[in-house]
Amino acid sequence: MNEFVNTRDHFADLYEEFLPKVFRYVQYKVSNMQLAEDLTSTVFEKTLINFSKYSKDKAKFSTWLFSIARNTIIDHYRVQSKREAISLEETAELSSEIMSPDEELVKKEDLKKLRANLPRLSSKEQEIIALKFGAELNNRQIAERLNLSESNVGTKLYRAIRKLRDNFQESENE
Amino acid sequence: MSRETEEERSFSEDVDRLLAGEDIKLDENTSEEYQRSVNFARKLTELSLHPSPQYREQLKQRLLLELTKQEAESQQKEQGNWFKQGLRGLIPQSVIWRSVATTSVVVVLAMVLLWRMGTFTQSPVLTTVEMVAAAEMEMATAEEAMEEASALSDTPETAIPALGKGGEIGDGPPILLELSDVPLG
Repeated sequence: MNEFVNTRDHFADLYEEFLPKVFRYVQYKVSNMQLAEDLTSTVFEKTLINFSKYSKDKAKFSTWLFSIARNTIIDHYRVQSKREAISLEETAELSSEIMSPDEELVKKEDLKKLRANLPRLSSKEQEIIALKFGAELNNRQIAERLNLSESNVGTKLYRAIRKLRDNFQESENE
Repeated sequence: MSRETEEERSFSEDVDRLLAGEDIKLDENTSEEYQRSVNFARKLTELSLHPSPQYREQLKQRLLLELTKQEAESQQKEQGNWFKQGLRGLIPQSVIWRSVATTSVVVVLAMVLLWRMGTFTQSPVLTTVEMVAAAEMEMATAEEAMEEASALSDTPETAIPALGKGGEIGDGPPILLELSDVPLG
């Protein structure tokens, strides 16, 4: 029985730590918030089913978890075969801070532009941005996942941000 | 190290600090390009969405319920294994003892089967006491028969006159004969 209590506590701790990261990672890959919630749920359900088989000797938990997340998204798109339309109404909380209606409107617009411009990056650049700003992984962790060198990740990240920033600016000027 | 390479390395470090919640202040010597990139990264960190508390709690409860089910199934499987292991412990591992055990079981089953068929109840086995009592009853029955026979021979009609010395009837004492000596018919 103690073993099960430890497992429950362990999983609960990991859930609290990684839910926000997985959720943000997924929302960088899909443009629909309801879909982001559904896929996040699927990721954790798959993690739970295979939790007993996970061994920290083989991989870090974050590496294993985000592999499941990535494969879940790939499977979704394979089934869907097209990207979901943007839905501004289905949004989660923008932040825990209390915002004025104007601030909230500005952020929603920025979010809309982000969703529109992310697909203009290469798949590798999108993945790096999602892992950095969504999953909050450092360059070494991203390099392990994508089979790149750490310096190469830094280079690609800087260039992707500059490209995205420029596209953002173009959207604002339109 | 070129300026661009240096900026690429610094940018990753600054983004990690922004994601950790730190507020970074850029050096005045940094390029405008770098400053714009860092400001845009700051905007991305502020745009990040968080799962709603309701969604967070609902998913957690659902996952913990699923975990409870898994634990219950795992415990049931362990109890089943325990029972099998216990049963396996009763069976002797040596081939010889296993043969003896198997033979004993077969013999017991055969005896039970025969008993059920009534084989043992058809020819009752009498004890010694019962045998003696049965013999005594037989003897008593035989004595009664003899007494009856002697009673019948005392009557004149049935008495068989014995031949005396003169050969006259009634000269000699009556001779009692066995009923079996009396010819029938």
